Amino acid sequence: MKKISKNTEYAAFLTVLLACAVFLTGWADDLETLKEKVTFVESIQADFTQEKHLEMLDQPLISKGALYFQAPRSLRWEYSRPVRSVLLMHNNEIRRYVRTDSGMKAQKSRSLEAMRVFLGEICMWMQGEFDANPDLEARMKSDRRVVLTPKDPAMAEVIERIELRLTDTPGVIDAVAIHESSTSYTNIRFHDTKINAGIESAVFQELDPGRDKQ
Amino acid sequence: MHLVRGVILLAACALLCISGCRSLAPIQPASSALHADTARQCRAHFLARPRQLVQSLTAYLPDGDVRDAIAVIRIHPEAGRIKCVIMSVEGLVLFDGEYDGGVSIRRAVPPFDEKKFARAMFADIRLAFISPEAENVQVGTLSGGTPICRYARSDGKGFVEVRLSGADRLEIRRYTSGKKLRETVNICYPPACGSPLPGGAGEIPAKIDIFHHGLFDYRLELNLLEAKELPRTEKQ
Repeated sequence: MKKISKNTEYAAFLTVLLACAVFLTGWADDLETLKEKVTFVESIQADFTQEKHLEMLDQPLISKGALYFQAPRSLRWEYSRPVRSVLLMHNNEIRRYVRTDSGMKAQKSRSLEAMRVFLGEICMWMQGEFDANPDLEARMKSDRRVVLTPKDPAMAEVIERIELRLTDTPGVIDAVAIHESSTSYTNIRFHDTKINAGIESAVFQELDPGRDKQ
Repeated sequence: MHLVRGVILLAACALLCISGCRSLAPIQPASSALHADTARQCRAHFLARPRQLVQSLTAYLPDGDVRDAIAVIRIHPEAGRIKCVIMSVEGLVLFDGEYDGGVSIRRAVPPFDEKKFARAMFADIRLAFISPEAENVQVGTLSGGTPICRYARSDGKGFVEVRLSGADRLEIRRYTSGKKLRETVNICYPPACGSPLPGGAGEIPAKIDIFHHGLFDYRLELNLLEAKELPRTEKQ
């Protein structure tokens, strides 16, 4: 039995990591100059397709969704299928909505506290501070990949590594791969990415902006 | 004084009865034709062949919180083997384990790493999908006319009821050996509940609601996303 302890926060962290990895934008040859190249990015929006690969699945499980980011600290990460789920972050407040039989319902904030711990670091990543987290070793590869590897063995039991594949367009990421083990990994491919297209602040504060005042 | 003692005694008896004197609903014997049809329908619900199911899972926890996840479940009903992976909507594996007479956990993050959680979850899956091993089955109708099959579990751990509560719907109840209701499972088939499967057809329930009764009540709602048949000989 591979029992993992002390990793509730890591689980939440990885969730947020999935959501925020796309913000590793504005490409350069090394991590030092990467930060300087991304300063022009004020907002990003993109659609994504997520493939979950498991040993017991012949075909990956496909999810689809969209993300919105506004510098410095606003985020919306939303799944539309197979199950709707919405994560909002704005002004240091985190909210998550899940589908219930009576419509979308906000999770209790207590269950999101673990995420909050890591959001500060995520924001640093959005600003190009990829090596700010002492628990992760960040390396820029020559083939336009950034590889993040947990230093903490407890965290490494949850995730082996994260690979971010960058396009040659500054501000646009092609895909993120999160490897939990050799047989369990998640690929997220981004498409229709728009940079600095302008996003209403309600997108980060409301479940259904313009339609819903929950 | 005698009157006061009598009232106290009666109150004590009433309390005892409320907490302990539970009984199962009486079953009216059915005609032989209805008996055979009811028994067939009860059996038909449970999986006859190995299946892999992908379900969305919404958990309504005792503290009022709601969590969502996706579950991939492989069930080999004849052998009673179950393998289950639960992952977050974002794809992070929260639990990976199997049941083959006993529970084993391959990978889990808190709070899913508790054996108690794993045992309860596999018991839920068995209750919903695998025909109970029973010494005898009582078949008939409840007082309202609902057809019912009541299985007295051969392990002596209580009773399982299958109540054919309506078109495309049934209810499974699990009682302890003390006849205390522990779980209620509401099951809904297409077309009453829409199925994501091609043609919407359904020998697999589209929606399953599991209610745990007790000090820490909770509810699990499962909605079918994918289903496929597995080879009988497949090893898990």
